[in-house]
Amino acid sequence: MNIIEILRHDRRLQVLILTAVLAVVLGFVAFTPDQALGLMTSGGYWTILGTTAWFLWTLRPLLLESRPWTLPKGGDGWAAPALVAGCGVLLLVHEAYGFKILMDEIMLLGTSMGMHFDKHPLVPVRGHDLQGAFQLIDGRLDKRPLFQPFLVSILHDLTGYRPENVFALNTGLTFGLLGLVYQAGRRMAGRAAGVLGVLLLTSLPLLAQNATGGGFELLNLVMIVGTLLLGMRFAEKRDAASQQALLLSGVLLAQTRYESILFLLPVGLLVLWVWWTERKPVLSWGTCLVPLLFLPVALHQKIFAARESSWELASQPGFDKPFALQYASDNFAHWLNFFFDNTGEHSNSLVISTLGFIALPFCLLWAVKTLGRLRQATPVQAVSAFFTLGFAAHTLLLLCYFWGRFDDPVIRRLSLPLNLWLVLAVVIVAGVLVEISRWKRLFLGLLALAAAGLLAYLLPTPPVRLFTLPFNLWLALVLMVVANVAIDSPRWNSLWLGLITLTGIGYFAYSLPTMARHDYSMDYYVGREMAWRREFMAAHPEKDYLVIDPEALGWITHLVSATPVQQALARKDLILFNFQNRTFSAFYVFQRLTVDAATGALSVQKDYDLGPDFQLEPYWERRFTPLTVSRISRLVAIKGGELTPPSPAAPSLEKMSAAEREKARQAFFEQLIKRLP
Amino acid sequence: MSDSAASLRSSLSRPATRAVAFVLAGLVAGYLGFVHFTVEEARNVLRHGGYYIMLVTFFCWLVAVWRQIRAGSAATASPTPAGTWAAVGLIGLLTVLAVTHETFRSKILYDEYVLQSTAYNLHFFRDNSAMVRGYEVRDVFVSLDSYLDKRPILFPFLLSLVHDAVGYRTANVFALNIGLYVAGLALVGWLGWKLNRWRGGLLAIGLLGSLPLYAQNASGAGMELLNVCMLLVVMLQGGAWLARPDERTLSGFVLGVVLLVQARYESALYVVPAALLIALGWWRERRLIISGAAIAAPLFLVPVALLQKVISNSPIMWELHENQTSRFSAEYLGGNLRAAYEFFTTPGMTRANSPLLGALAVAALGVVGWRLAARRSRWADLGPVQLSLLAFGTAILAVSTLIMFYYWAALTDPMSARFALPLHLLLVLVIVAAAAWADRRWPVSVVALGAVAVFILGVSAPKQSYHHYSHAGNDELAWEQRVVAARPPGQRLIVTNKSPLPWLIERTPSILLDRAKGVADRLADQLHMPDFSEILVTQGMRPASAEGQYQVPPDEVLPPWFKLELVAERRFGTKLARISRLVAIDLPADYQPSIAPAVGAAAPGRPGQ
Repeated sequence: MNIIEILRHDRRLQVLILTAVLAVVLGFVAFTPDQALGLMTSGGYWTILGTTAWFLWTLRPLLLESRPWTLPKGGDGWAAPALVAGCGVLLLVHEAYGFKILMDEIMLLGTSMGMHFDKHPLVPVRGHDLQGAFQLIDGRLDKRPLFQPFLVSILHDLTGYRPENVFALNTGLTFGLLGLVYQAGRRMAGRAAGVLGVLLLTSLPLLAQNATGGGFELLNLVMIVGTLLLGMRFAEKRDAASQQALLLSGVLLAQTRYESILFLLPVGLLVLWVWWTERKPVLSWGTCLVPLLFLPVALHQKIFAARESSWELASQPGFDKPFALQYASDNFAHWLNFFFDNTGEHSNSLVISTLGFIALPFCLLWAVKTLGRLRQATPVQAVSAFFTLGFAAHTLLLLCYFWGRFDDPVIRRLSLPLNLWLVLAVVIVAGVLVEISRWKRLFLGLLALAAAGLLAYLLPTPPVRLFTLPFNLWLALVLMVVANVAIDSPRWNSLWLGLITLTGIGYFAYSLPTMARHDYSMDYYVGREMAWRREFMAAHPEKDYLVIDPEALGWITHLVSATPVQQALARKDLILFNFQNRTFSAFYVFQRLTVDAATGALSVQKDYDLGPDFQLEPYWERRFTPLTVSRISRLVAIKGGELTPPSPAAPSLEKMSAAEREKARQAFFEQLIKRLP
Repeated sequence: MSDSAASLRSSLSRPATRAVAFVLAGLVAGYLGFVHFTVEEARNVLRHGGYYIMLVTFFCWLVAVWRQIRAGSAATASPTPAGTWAAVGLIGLLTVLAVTHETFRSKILYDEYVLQSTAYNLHFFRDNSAMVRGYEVRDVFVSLDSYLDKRPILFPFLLSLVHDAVGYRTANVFALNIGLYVAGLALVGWLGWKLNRWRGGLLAIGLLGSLPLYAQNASGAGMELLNVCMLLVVMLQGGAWLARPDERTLSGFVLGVVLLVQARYESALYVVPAALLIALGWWRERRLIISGAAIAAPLFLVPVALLQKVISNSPIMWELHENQTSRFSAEYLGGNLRAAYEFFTTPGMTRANSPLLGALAVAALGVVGWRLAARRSRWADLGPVQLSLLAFGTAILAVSTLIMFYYWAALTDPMSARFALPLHLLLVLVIVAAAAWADRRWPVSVVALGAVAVFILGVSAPKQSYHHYSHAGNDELAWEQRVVAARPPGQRLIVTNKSPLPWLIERTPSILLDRAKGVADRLADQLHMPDFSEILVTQGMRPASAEGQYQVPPDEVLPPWFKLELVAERRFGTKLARISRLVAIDLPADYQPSIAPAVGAAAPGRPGQ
């Protein structure tokens, strides 16, 4: 096609280029970080609302046309929904719902709280019950993208504010993810591939941990797979409606997790490829406006690019930049430690790791080959190849991330997209293998086994524990290869049966007991500490108390007044004023103490130390690690202040008129608002 | 049938006979309602006969509606299944929104407790009165001292029916109001559908359901939603009467109006538009159509007149503020109008208003006003539903104007904001009517529906979540009840600084602080008796200066010889509420013993006492 000619005659393309330029100027040039902050504060909620509403509106005719909710005719029409439901339940039943990654999940909850109550995307910093309603008083913009908090805020809007709404969302997303993976697998290589994809994902304890948590990882996976499926539809239909849905899905995916913006690469390549093969741009007027929807991403980026602290480099000593190639080798060792751990401490799935890392090189080769001859590829193959590029870019980025160590409890969740890629790689490669003769398959299977053994031999670093894999997994792998040659049914190819059997063995031998124990959640005691805080709140339902805690947001998001330790130390007078006037029925202090291994003596950690002026009485105490104790104390006195106001004796209410009483009330109320912590 | 019976029936069915009977019934009703009974007799008639008169009225209305539905269902067009499902979905969504954000509890102090208390006595004793004192006697909680309340009986009557059906529990009132909330949305959707098919129906449901004031009442215990429902019912029945003037439609309409009149005090005024619509029906048919229900209707209205008589002669029921001498006066108008303007235009979170409704209504009133003015004398040619809406809409405006002269009608006061509900209903219907006309050129209804959706997420949901307008007084009471419920089981006496009603309807004995001071000797005796496991006292403390320095207000101070032990204390706004346990009463030497009341003097509905 002649690009100049098309550009000259296609007004929509002209507008698209203009809006793209405008988006770049507005997003990166026109506004200072402070102005960007103002724009995000006032318009962030409405932009994401508009984008989501537009996406749903675009999706509506597509869904009505394809009717994915109708069951296929035949006796096993219920099989896929039953599989998804059963696997979803298996992922959800082993671990208690809770906030697993602190403060990440609480920050997201805080943003959803601001979006629900005040329709701005700010995390509350202070919140108090002033006259009956718990009001958010101050807030700040968080670095995390807005899509997940927005969805949680919609749940708050429809069913009332409660922190647990995020668990409801993640529960729904768990089933949604499995359903989408089934669809993706089915599109790639048939129903058996869909079943295998679902079973493989179900064997991932990390997914179970996040399904019962408050994070945005599930939504990220759902959006990745959803975008992949919309990409397949667009590649087949090649119409403007499908393209618009795909692009809007991409926009929302980019606002789900920071690094998911990389999936715009396959989306963009796919769109350009379709335009190229159609010899004209497929454009609707609505699509022309899509570049402007990336403004929040750009503005968000601008705001946090100005804040060095937002990368949290200080949390990992020895790093001075967030991304560098030099981090890759160290990270890779940690990745292997994560993927091939067989102790259950790292929430990995051995069956995904084993099959996935065998399939991954073949998948990459297949993708390169497919991209090289796109004209012969089916739409599904082309889209799978494009998304392989996206997954590869995503993986590469994480490999170069300064904190990309997957065996770190806080970072494990970042491996979820890679785990998803491994699952899809198995499905893609198996889909290719079923097309070739059984003897070739046997040869390739043995080759894969040899490659796996060689890999283990060549990388004898301590984290690599391939040789310590449970014997039954290896045996199953060998059996699978043998069975592949021996059995061949017209309906269920033996390769799929073998892979499904292997997944089942991996699930029951390793994943299920790992999920049941969920050591990986227990080891991260910060999460358990948060659960303990929630236990305290449940035991004190009146929520009429103040908590002094460095992690004040955990309380505020549960509608309990809280202030950080530093604030209490800096403004002792405020605490005193409220203590004297019984603004709160009780004052509690949350502290973390270190146990001296030699003497057993307890000492308050620096960040939790209120100093000698605050007299505390231990109230609740729990040991979370052998050398760490968490304690909630009751504040009983403050040195340097009387328990009654020191000002001159107040006039008697009896001698005051109604107007004078009201005046005194108003004056006190003003003081109260000014002097709340 | 014998000849004489047939002849009697024939003569009774003659229009002239019926007209005479109707006039006679009106005269008798007027005499009984305004002349025959003294105030005290009227009070007794209402207390002991009110329930049964309402029972008969309500039953007759149900029969009339049933006959009307059976006769009329085939003649009218029906909504499409898709439109019906959309309406059901929208109602479901709005209902979830309404009931999940606010706690189920009374919203208006102490209006709603009085209604519940009346329902209690109607259920247990068929006595139309509210409790003042009550105690458990032989395992039955008996109302020992009651009074006829000023509030109309329809809502307590319906609540007592729910109690009759499922057993007494205070939560029944919330079930009733959720039902009324859903019914209100369904009825307004139906009316909207009649005005503009599915667009009108959905817009009407969306506009009314997104009004926080309407949603507030879904989780409350008041009679407001019933009033709205009855208004919608009579509007629809008025339209049905004009569409097909016959005895069936007239009976349903007339009896509906009789019930509406007893739904709220000021709803008595809706008799006027109803009479006009009936006259219009006669005029259109060129004959008098009078059904048996229409003849009986004036007699069914006698309790309304009697209640008015009792209220007018009982100034204590008016609950006037300090320095106020009359309930209605022009001097209240300025303040009330300012408050109304503020209520309809304030965009913040503190009011239960809908700025969207206010803004759309301004435009819609202009359109409808202009359209009506353009018709000049051809108003009677309007469709039946439009005419009914015009008549009742005018009456709603008149009632709203009247309320502006009322001493306690500032809509910015959370207690009186509910008076604006009928006006909001009118605005909703006016917007639907205006949009129906504008839809001929532009997709106004669809755009308005989009605006409603954004408004629900952007304004209604956070407003309902904060519900600043529902906290006054009720937070404190709910806290007291939670604290008491958390204490060990046992029978308690609550000496309250507010009203004993919230405790009495929970079958917990309660008296006011002033009474406690007056019967201190009896309380002192009770401390040594096994009847009460403990006596709890509720008091408040107020700041006396900018620094706080809390003190108990003089009217809540107990003599120092009441020995109290603090149980719980909590801040509500600037007030500290406290619950104490009475541990001793050291009566002073000069204390005069209280006079014991006559035993069983006021036990209602208990034969032999």
